[in-house]
Amino acid sequence: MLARMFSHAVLGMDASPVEVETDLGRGLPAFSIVGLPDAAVRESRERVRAGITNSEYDFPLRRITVNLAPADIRKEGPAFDLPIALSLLAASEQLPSGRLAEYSAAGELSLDGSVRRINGALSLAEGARRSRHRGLLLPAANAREAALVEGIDVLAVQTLGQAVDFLSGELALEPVRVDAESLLAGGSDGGPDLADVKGQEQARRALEVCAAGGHNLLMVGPPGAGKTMLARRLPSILPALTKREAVEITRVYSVAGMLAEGMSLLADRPFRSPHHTISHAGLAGGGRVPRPGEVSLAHLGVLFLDELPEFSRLALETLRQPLEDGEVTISRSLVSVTYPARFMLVAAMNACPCGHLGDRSRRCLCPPEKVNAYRGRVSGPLMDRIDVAIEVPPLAKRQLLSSPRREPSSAVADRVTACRQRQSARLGEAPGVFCNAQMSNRLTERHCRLEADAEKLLESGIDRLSLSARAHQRILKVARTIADLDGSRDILTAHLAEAISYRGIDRTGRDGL
Amino acid sequence: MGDPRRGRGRRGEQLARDHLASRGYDIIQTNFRSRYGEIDIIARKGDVVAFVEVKARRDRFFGEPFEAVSPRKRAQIRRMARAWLMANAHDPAYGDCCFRFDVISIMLDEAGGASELDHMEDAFR
Repeated sequence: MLARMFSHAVLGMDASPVEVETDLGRGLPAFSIVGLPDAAVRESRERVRAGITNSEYDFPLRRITVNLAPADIRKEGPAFDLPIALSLLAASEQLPSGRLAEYSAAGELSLDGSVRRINGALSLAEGARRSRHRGLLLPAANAREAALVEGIDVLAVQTLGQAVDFLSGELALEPVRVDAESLLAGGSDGGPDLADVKGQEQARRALEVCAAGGHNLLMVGPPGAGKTMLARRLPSILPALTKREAVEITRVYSVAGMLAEGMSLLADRPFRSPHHTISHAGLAGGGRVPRPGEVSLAHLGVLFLDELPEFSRLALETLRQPLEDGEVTISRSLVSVTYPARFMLVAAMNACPCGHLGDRSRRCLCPPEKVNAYRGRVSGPLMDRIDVAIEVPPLAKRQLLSSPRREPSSAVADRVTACRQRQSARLGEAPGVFCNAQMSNRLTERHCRLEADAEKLLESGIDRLSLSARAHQRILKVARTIADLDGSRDILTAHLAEAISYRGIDRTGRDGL
Repeated sequence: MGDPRRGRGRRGEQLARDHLASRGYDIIQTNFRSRYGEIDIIARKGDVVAFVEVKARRDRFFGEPFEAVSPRKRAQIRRMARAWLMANAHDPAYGDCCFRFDVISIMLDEAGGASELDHMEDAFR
């Protein structure tokens, strides 16, 4: 009276195989689940019992022991309800156990026996494919996201009864198929358009450079100058997602439980703008068993931090690892997980606490020490990781009232895409490097050689701005992007000069402005 | 009999036994007792052995009769069932049996008959 079936436990982005064994023993009726279950898994006893009886099956009058093996990995969440119920029905011979071991299953049971959606279905499908199962039984609400994984049949079930009928061969289920290409093409129109932005020539240029090379951007200026407006238009000029990128983004959202029901591929680059009161755990990811934070939800998209100095110091410092490595590792007493976090950071701040410094039409009343303290809240190491820092001045009345429609996002996006293609042609052989900002020091050295004149300019720039080694590297990368936008093989003095100008407010407050 | 309550209890158990017998149960034992307490009836039908707790009442002043089977009472019955199993586990007659806890809840009328009888199979585990 023993039956087993397979499932997977999602930990971080990955799913590891779990065997669900059910034994019906002699003795007083009891139902226990062993194998490091958390509270939600232990509660599954009640759901499984009600789900089985309300689906018109018998709940066996036996001493039931369910083991989730291997016992050393932590099982959490309600996704084991379905495999537990199925193996229990097989152990009590209400379901032939023949095909049971060839499939894996995951799903939460409702008391009426219907199967509810779960988190991380995409990762589960990856796991089932790796385990070479014949198919994966999933809640219908999750089937379309899981079907993005090729090489595994995803079978959508609405109820426990359907799963039983399928496994006993009484019901034929067609594997769910989705057409990723057409989903990708059918993304939204890219949101707000750059054509709406009045004036701000320098900022538009900086935005284009950042989009082209994947560089991080800081905008400094008084309230109402258009910083937020500019940032929101960044996704519209970024290159279209590749299928692989889209699947990666979808996977993060699947694990975070943020995919709407029946949703499949996310075809748009994420734009995340957390409020400045966010905790470090909310930003980097956290919880007893850590879930993805904003940095991961912004993976392959844009993380916009408005009012940068108002963020807690702890929160800002947690940005350092993801900015450097493109991923974030969160360690808690129970587990340590790594989530992807390769995002473009766009930050905005005022030049001083009152916001009017640098605005010619208003007077700033902030004493200098307050201005310094305000800017000092953004630490040097974080500033070092920002490649492009620009001033966004307030719009003059003339610009406000009469501005012809500017260049639309689509035109800028074409240039950005062409520039990215140049980069990937050059960086082709380096794995995991898709744009200039991601170049390692060695790659930077190889691809960012300078002419003698340019070399001299860089030296004087380093002296004048007292730049760190990291800042030096970043200037070279930005210069490389500018040259690429220009279609130039070599980095010319003009390209370098523009790149250095973007570090002008690096040590803001003390000089500049 | 001194205490009228005990008399009513006995009457209820009698009615419950009659009910079980009419439903095809064999009564294995009544008032199985140890220092921990008592199981009113142990009955068998097919391969199911039921440990039956009987509750009889004259009125609903204190609620439905089965409500008196409190968590503490259930724990006591489970303990008793375990003790009974220990004593009888070697008996091959129970080789393939399942075990179940039932509650029979009875409303008594003035004449000492059952105006209502509710047999809850698998009442708790």
